[in-house]
Amino acid sequence: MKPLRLPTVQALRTALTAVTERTGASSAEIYVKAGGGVQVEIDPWRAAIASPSAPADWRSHTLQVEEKGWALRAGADGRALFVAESGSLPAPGGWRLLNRHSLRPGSLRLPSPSRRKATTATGRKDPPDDDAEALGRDLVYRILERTRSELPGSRLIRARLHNGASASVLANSEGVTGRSSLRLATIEMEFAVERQGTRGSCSLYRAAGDLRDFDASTIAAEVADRLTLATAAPESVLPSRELAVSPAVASNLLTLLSPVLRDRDGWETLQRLSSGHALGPTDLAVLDDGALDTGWIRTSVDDEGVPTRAVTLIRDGEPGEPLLTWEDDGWSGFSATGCRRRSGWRAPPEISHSHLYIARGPEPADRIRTGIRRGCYLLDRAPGGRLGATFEDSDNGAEASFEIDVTGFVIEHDRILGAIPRARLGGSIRQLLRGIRAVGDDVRFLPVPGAVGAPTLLLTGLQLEPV
Amino acid sequence: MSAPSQFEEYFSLHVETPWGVWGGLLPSLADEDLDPVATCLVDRLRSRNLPEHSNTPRVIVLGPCAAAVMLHEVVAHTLEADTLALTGAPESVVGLKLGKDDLNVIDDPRLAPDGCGRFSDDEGTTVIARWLLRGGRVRQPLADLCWAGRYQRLIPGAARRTSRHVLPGPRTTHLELLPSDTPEADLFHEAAGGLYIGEFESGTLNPFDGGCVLRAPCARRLGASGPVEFVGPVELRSRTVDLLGAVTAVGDRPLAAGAGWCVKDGALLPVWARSPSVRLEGLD
Repeated sequence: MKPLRLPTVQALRTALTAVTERTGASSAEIYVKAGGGVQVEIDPWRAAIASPSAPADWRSHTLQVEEKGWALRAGADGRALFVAESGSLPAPGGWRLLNRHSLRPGSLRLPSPSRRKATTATGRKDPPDDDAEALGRDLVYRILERTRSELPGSRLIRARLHNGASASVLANSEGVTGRSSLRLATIEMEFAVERQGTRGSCSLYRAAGDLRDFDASTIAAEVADRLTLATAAPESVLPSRELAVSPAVASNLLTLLSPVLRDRDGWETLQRLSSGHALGPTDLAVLDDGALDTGWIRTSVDDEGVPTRAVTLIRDGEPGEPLLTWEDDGWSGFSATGCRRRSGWRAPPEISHSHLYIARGPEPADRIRTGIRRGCYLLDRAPGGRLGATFEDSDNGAEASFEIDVTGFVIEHDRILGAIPRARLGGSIRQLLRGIRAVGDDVRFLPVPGAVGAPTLLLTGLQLEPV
Repeated sequence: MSAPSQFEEYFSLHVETPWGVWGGLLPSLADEDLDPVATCLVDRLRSRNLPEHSNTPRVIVLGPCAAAVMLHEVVAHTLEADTLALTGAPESVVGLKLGKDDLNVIDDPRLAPDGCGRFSDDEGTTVIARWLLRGGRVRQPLADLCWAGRYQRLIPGAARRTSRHVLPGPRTTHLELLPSDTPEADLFHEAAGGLYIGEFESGTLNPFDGGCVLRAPCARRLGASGPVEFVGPVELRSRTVDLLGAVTAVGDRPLAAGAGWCVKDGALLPVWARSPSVRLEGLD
């Protein structure tokens, strides 16, 4: 892959001067992003043979993706402008499309340089492997072989791998500058199997810093578990007194809670939920850390150039501090952090979590499962199932609540008694947090979306019903 | 092969309210296109906090928007060549009787609303008016060049790409359920105790067992004279063949309805439809 080329900060400053002169804007910001990578799509159904014996038999579609784009924000006295274009940043004389009428009614505020020093966190700078296609095909083949050895008859429906890198640079008229870079590899696979006359399928989406970081055996075991569940006869009675939830389910539950862990409104809702009491056990800590050492998307500054840091959102089971943007710095005595992210170079920055996770707890995950006398182990979200939460108490007195469709097993001291192909886990948000009886030590991150991580949790007091 | 440039122009509207979210596509922001959105939001306001409706009534009448979403799942997705290939040869379904004689469903990308119609697909093949179901029988699954090359009875022209980074695949563009001569009012005949569902907010199809789940944010109970009081969210779970077999009547007033984003396999595509109301009976 060719190295990603970005303009210098000095070039951005020159462009800012040109923009402010032409538009009469008093403040402006330019953000430039470049990205590239390889995308490999494997679709065995498009090949002449449905059960390939070697990866070379597969028909795959490989795409070299290279993209560059820039975004400009400018504003003055109740007028503002947002423009985004693909390609390189215009030369200083190339802003002729802008003039004093370009600013429309609106507002723009931009951050000033932070007194807090940015961390040294940077993404990996080495370019992705050029042989991503061969690596990806080999990885998918190893996953398929191992899945077949665990569950004979498993078929790969399709796989999509992406191995890429991106880098960005920004500067604003207040003097803020920032650079970031990251590497990300994702794998998306769909499998199917037929067992005892029942057809089932599953899909898996995983991310890592590099294609080589994926472990074929781990993914194959995950696929085999999900295919087994998809084709199993459901248990009619689900013991729900004690529920162990896997990192995958716990991460989805944390995603549901993310709206109350950011911003002033979210914080106020969280306060109402706690109503002066602890939200959960003292082992419970929830953090958001844009500069997390082991994170896939770690950066020292956010997409407005504000330094990132670790924010403890829930500490010792009680509300810690909210995720606040620089505009709310000092609100209720809390400090801001860099937490505005762009979903792409075309999009304006919005408040968002980065690496949001439940911190590792003291309890070994297998001890949580073996400690369950008779209950369930919930493995993952059910494909196409529900996932939602309401945070306002309703007019008829119902509490803020959540629901998520899950798959899993009925277990007794970690021994599997039956399968749960699909069930609905639900209850009040308060009970979800207060009912946490143990926090495991096996934090895993999932791309659901961003990077959300959690360990195995033991939950009580929730409802689990077959669907 | 080459195809002329094609332009698509439409609005994607997403409305969030404390009592629900509405999302869909509109060909314009004129009053006549926005009025139905407002009606949906008012319906959701009136039905807020009502408990989920759990009983399956004997009769369910689907409004044009709900019927369009159901047909999108149980006819269009079911008859995409790649979906059919997961469980057998795609052309083996041709001729299967799935519903009553007045169930006629066409996919014709040229008939999408102004500014959204297409004359060639994303592989440059000229599109056709494709009878998916004619007289309740499967006539022509949706196929692209790849699938039509493998199965001689399939006709290409339904290839869509979600972006330039993704391979094309067979997808619907504009689905149309042809009206019958049954007056709309007759759909509500002897339907007291049933449900009227105006819209589904989402639908999913399991391609392996034909299981389909359709979710409505609210519905209305049917009285002797038609829809009366609101009920809470409704979830219909059935199989494709059972849903199509349950269609006992098709109305005579088709409307542009059910336009939205289709997200099969994560590939986001705009889809359009035109449908009259339909009456379902005998679902379990």
